[in-house]
Amino acid sequence: MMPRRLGAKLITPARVVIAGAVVSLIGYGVRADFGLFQDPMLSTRGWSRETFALALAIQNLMWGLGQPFAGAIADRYGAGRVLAGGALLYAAGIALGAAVEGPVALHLTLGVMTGLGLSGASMFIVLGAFGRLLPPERRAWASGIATAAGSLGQFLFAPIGQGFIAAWGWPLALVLLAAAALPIIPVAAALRSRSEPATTEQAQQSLGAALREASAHGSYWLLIAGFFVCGFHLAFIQVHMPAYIAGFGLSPVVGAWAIGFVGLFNTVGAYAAGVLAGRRSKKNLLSAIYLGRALVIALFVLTPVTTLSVLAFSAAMGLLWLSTVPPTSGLVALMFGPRYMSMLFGVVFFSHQIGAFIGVWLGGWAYDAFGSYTLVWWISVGLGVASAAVHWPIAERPARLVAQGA
Amino acid sequence: MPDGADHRFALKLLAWVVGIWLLGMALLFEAAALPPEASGTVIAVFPIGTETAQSVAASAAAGAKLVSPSWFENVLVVADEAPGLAGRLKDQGAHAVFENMSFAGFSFAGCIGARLPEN
Repeated sequence: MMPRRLGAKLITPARVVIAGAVVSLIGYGVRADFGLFQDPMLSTRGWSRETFALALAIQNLMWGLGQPFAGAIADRYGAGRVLAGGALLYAAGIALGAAVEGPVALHLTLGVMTGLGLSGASMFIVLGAFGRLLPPERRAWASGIATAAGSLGQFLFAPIGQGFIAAWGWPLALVLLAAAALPIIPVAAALRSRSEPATTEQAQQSLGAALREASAHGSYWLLIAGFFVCGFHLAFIQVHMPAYIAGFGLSPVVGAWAIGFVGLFNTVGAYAAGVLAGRRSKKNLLSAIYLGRALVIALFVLTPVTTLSVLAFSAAMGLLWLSTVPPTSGLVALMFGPRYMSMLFGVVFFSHQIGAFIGVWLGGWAYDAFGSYTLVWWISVGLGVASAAVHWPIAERPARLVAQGA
Repeated sequence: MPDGADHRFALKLLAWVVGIWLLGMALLFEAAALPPEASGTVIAVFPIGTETAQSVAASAAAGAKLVSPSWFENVLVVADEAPGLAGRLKDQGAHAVFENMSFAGFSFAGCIGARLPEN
């Protein structure tokens, strides 16, 4: 692919990849720190834990709901503008969170504003931009880099958030964190130009027609169903695993290391998945990933819980964690082309967020009802197998060719 | 298809990111370190390679009580209300002393940002 000009500057594919990685790293990294503010904010403001948790739940919901719309705007007006606007809203929501004194204002700032900002300044908008700005043979690899950068960002920003709070107190730390999101705005310039759609047919397709085409395509629904399971697994494990292993008498330190292992191995897994998705069948890769998750979870539940088994499980799950993103986004681009990719992948991501919500809720409900997580672990195994099966029949070619019976 | 040059590009990008982060963290740690007169519940960071027993002994010599261990053997959460705890810990070999904070509540993989209540 030839470099393109943006004003007087030359934008090369390498700059596009670097810009996407930086946006992903900052967007995900800043978000990783919100939990750190829970205790200091509650002790200062006198809110309940539920008040803070509801703000973050609203944030997740708004992120999921806003993603298809942010994607549609990015598809229409360019990813750069959406990323810049999203970063502004994201930063404003975080900064205003430092000044609010009532729960409703907290839910509007750290919840609604930050969630909607995230949907604009997210990795998923970057993946859509990659689809338009990079040559097809580089897209999966680049999406692996952006996904790995997002994971790395969460790892790197955690001590930054801690340091901000320790050095300057939580209100100023929130403002500094908001400022840390602002570099997305200039960096997004490298992702702002839209390439011409690949075909004339695509150029004439309206947004509504793209949605109708997607909703009539069975493989798209299979992809949506599969990504629901991804959200379920990730959220259930992330939220409930520390409590699960603590129930076996292991130190909370092991739980902290387990989450750390997931994050580190996730960086490796996401990059490797990006490379593999460019070389192998994406739907078979997804089937293998979900089947792998089912096997790893089953082994973990069936073997005695020790420090070693927890760390081995965390490493294995880390490799399979966000590795679903490059092949899933790659399949959306393959089925429908790059023009409406951000919106159509946003819809798939919304399914992921619903799965995440149910995974967290079901874990809590099952523990309250039965005093154990066993039922949800086995549901996770079943869902992993089901998701592997769901991806298997996906038609890995453009939706138009499938509709024409080619 | 990505080739060796692409993988080297990814590694270089990683090295740059980590390098910038380390630089930023060094500055941030300096800003976040407590002054010598600070006391209360604090995080004491001893040199890398210090074993837990040595860290505990050094903290005790500084007049601090162990509150909890951490992810690392050379990092302890300790407490003492007498003024000057941070300075005494440094005299006993601690690299730096920070305000105590929870190390839970991180979010990975972009799914959720809250943690469950500990109790």
